[in-house]
Amino acid sequence: MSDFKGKQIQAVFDLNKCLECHTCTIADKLMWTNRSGREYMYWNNVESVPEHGYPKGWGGGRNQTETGAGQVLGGGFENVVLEDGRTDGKVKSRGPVMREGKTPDLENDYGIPWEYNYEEVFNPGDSHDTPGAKGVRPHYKGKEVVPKWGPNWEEDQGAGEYPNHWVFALPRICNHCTHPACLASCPRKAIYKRQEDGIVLVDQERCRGYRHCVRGCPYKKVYFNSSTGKSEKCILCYPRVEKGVPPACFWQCPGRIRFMGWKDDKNSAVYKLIYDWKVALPLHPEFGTEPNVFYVPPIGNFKFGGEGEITNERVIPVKFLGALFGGEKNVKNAQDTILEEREKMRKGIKSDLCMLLIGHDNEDRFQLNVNGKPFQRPEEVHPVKTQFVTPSKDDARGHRTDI
Amino acid sequence: MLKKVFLIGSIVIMAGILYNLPEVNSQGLMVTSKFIKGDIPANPRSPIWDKADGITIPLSSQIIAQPRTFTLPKGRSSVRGINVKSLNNGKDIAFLIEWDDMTENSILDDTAAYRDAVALNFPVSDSEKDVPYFGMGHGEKEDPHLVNIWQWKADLEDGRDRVVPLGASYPGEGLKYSVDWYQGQLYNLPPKEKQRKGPVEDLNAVGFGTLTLQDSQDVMGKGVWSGGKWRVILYRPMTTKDKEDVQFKKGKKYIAFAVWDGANLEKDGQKSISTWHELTIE
Amino acid sequence: MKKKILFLIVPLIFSLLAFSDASAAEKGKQVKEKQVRKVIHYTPPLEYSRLENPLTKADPKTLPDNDPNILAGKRLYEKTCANCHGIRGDGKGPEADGFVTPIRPVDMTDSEAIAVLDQSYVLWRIDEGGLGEPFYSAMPAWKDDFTETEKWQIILYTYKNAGVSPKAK
Repeated sequence: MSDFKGKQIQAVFDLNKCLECHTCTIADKLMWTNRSGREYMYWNNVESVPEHGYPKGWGGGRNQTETGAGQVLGGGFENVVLEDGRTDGKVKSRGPVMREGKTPDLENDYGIPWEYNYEEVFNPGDSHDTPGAKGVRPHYKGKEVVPKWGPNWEEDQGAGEYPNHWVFALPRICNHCTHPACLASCPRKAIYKRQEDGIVLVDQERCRGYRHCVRGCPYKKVYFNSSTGKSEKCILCYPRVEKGVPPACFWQCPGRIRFMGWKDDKNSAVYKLIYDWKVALPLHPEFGTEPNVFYVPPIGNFKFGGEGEITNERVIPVKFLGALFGGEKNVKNAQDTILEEREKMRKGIKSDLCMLLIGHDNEDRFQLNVNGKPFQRPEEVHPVKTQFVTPSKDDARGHRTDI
Repeated sequence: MLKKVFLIGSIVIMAGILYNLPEVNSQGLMVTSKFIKGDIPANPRSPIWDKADGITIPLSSQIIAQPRTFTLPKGRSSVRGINVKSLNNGKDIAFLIEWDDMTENSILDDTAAYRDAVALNFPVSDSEKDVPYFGMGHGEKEDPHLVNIWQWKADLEDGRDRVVPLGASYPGEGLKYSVDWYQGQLYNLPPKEKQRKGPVEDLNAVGFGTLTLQDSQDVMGKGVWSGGKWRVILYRPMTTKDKEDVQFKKGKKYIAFAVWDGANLEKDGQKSISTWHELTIE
Repeated sequence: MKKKILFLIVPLIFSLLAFSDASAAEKGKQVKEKQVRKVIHYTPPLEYSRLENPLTKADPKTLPDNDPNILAGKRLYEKTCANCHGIRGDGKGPEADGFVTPIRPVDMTDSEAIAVLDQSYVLWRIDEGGLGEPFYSAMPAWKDDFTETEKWQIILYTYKNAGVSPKAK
């Protein structure tokens, strides 16, 4: 069904290891989205599940709250039929793309970004309120923002009752889908999927800012830049990937939860996790886009019973995880496989799967295979100039008044 | 007997179809570009416009190509008709388009905001027999029937210009730099003739989804909203050196129209359109 | 002789849907110098002309109002087709006025419109729409929007609504 015949890069995020530290988000923000109309965008974001997430209510026909109640933004394909007995979300047949949903708005669905007026906050003088006080708040540069939503709005909100409450972190980037709904949504063919690595990009010369892609993407990972009147999205740091350097959010991850490699490289960690061990599952394969970011589902604690005893049931409902990662069966199998292998390790038997998931060294997690090496370090290649440009030194900022 | 009458009648009609095609303006909706001496008014409110006779052109929802207008908040496009005037002085030609719109949508200040806009559509070729499809032309690469589209966008009006990315259309005067898309560096802009001269984009298309900015931006314009009405002028020298531009001389041309209402989330093909109307240049 | 007439009439009938506005054709006759474009193809491809309505062999005009196919067709017709062709099929729908050239949306009740065509021809027009020779009209191509059954239901209702019978095969 999918007509993409090129080489595909794939990623695995191990949710059992995610610290929810947002270092990935900040790496992405500093590198790409802190300027030029991109201030509100989070190409990479981490959200607490279960909740509405970012933007509020993403997720095809259903949001990620515990009950599915509340706002839903839409997107994805109609009548998706997945191939039987697979864990990678391969699609047997799909209908047309659904691009008629709500266009997320800045204030309610993304959240208006603001910048603190640090001089005023830290040197308030006599006439100013202290931070947090009511009344005049000179703490914002420019207009005061009363935030209604944001990229981390529901942090650690979670579900369930103590001691069986649960929450887990879900880091999300563009899935660089094999059959992207954004690409299918665009009547102008302004979105393309690169043959050399499968990275999905918005052609800034073709884009005319209609935002069909924003509505079509069920993961809501295409963003409209109102400064330029065009749409943008995660570029998987292609200037780095082209040189064998892992993307910034992969490279910076302190929890080492992110793996990257080629779909056709059977020796890569991602291939083994997705296709051999089948412990890495696609996020919402039922959207029909065949995402290329896979998640090792979280296992979570075991539930306490009425007497405080530990039961066999887990606090994170498998049913909920099943709805997220392509069915309870796949999730349960993945969890059981991991638990089994962990048990082996406990008994002193080395488990290949556990060693893979630990991913001790960068070499264990990144197999981009360039110049006879699994990957290159950022400093080995020509540095990307804006990698660490602070906002105040960035020429591209302040364009609204300066140009 | 009846059959025979029908047959003969049909043959007569067919002759009409094959050799004398139906007049384009079956409703007599012709746009006339009035010849005047002196300068073409660059202001939509100039009294000189009173010299031209206006004509009301009915518009309909674009339902031919997807995405259609059925999914808009109103279930259809907003603008049902426009008033069109045209003037020329032998050197320049200008069009004044007026339509009712209770909401001014001229700033893209939200990820869910859309702009008001209007576009004129002309066949590039002068051929009267081989006219492009009124909806964005046709033929693509194999048999290109090119149309030249002038699109005025409310958010491109003076003082509302935003940062100019690579590949966008460029506001003309004074700008030498743009910001590189991903690297955050300054980039040289193309030479002046390639930069947009005003809030109007000069475009070409050869079918749905093929709309492309021209290298040579020649169209100027000005739009004013007041009292629930947009008044927009679009003007250009009657002839240009660009092969992809429509060229005007005394005589007949075709013209078609499109209007977008930002408040109804209109964009792309979700708009109000007309088919070809005859344009007589005096 | 008979053959010759047939040769003439067949293409004629097919071109009628495109230019069924007889008055426009008459006008065209008066203004002889105006040639917009040549009519080149007006015969539906064989894969269409062979088709028959699989839902019923009955004359749609005679079908009862509560026939399930008529009801389904009515629902679809009123949602989409009626925008231009009008609730009554008279070509005066709310979206018709912008689409005046080269022809207005066809008046289904016209005795020389769908009344002289068989159902397969109408299916062809629904599928392909107006973008293409010889039509270049505003008729959308609905090929991918409806199932085959839905299209035949729309055709049945279109005839019934207009009160005309299709030409027999």
